[in-house]
Amino acid sequence: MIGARNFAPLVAVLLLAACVAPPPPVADLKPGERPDINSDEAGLWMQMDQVEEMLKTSGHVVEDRKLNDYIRSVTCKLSAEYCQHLRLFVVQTPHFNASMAPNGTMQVWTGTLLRAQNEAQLAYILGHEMAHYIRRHSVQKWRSIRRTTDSMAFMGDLAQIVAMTSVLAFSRDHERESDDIGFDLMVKAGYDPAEAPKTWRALLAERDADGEEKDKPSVFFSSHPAVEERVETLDAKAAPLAGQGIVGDKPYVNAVKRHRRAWLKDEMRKRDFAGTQVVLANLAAAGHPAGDIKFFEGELYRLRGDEGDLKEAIVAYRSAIKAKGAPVEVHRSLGLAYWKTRQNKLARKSFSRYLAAAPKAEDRAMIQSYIDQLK
Amino acid sequence: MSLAVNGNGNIKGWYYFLVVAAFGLFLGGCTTSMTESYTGGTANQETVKLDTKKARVVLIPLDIKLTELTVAGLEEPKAAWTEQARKHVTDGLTAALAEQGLTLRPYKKPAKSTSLRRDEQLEKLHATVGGTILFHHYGQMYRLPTKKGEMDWTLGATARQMGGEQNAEFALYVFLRDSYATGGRKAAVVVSRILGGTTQAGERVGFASLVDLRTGKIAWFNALYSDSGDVREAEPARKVVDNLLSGFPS
Repeated sequence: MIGARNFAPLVAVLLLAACVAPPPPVADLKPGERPDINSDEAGLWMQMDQVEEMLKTSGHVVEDRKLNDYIRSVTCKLSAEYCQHLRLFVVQTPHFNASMAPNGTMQVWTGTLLRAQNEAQLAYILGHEMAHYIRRHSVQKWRSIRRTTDSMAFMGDLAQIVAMTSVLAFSRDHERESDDIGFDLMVKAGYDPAEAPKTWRALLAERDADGEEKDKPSVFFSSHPAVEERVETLDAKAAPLAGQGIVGDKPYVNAVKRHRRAWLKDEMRKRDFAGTQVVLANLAAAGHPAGDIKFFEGELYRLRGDEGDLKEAIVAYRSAIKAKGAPVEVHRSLGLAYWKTRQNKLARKSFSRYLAAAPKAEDRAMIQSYIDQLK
Repeated sequence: MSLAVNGNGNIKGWYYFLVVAAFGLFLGGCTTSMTESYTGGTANQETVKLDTKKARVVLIPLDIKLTELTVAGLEEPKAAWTEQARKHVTDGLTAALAEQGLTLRPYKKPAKSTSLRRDEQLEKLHATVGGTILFHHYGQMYRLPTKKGEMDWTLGATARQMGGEQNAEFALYVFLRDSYATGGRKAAVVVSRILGGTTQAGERVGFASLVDLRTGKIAWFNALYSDSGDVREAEPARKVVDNLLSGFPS
């Protein structure tokens, strides 16, 4: 039976559909265009100008000029007209994300740079962010939120929930549009389209690495489309064009290699060991030196410390030493792993090797004391 | 507009919200009855002497943002209002202190990037320390036992370097956040108050600090909280400035 009481929410929802229809479409931002100072958009710009001032002096901004120039050069390959109006900030945080503010402040997180495997993937990510700027998604979203919450002020709970889901649906549409435009920009710039969906596929592999069922947010309450959907859409777009164009693994690996160790150390601190294993495998596949990757694999086992992990760590450290490019700390770590497994002779030998390779190490005195204890 | 969903909350935003909300509660008590500006009291007033004729005081560019409150209470930042207010409050500060015989010195933007960075860090620090004073000094319930009720705050010794470069003994910092209601919001407030609610129509939270650049210590501090007045126009802005400067050392 549908009584009047049960019927009321439905009426509210129907009425709401009228009030919270998305605001009228906006034109693209022209290169160099600034919004009128009396507009709502100018307010958003002012707010982000202030955030940008704070960001400029943040200790988390990676200032390496070569790296910044490299990323900037990729944005300019995507769009020479727009790139000069963007300000790039590489922000040290070990998660996968990037963001674009309405005023052109673009953040790229180091966790993203650690995960991208080549220039084509970076281009897709930057193209996605540039699309937010060009399509003025921030002001569109703000207007949608404002209109929706205005109409919500006197609504009941259910109607408010419905209203918020419409805002989020609008947000998901923006993400889809940015995926689309980002893809088109990278293809136009000559990059291999097949790399775009790979970005998301790697993220899925990382998410599902521990084999546990994740609480996926409901499709109605998410600001971004499901990753699976994004892979599917991009796969379909890339299929007819795949294999054509630049991948750019060498220039990319070259640009990020100086930071690899610092970023991997940050990555380890997340203690998402299964996910980090996927990241390490992808780095090896992208052409980063095996010695380094194996060293961090060893660190991962040693940190995790599950049954048998110390043995695994020793195997990884030893192959890191055999391969090229391992940091000298590999001897110290191996020494610690030997010590913990009561292989004191081997531990002493590894510690001595560490001190021989790094005679000016800050922890020299401590390691020397270990050697003395192990005698 | 980010690339992917991420779990990072805006901690700073929440902290600011907390400070403002707490400040409103502590000073406002019952917000509906508050029509006059409230000046929260000053710090170390008796200990600070300022020879206004001779003292060299640099005015740091204001940390100011004006917003419009939507019907639902969201804040829409307003660029034009903020620019007007920046001008009126700066002019007001200059005029008010000139009447006391003090000529404020304009801040000279350093050419050296390290100096500029240091000064910007000091501005950020001032906003944070000021918010902390509001919360832990004005907020009686959250007094820090180690402070023993004293107004004992500092921006640290790096302020001395700025003092040297700006050729100043003191720096005046002002932080101001101000919001105004839309027509729809005003209606919502009326309805809410009829129903016994406490919906706000807009409020102003601000504070000013006189920092001794020879030590970095905050020599004088004053805060205001108000839900009336207007800094978008010259004349009412001057009233807000006078409130903010009440108890300024002389």
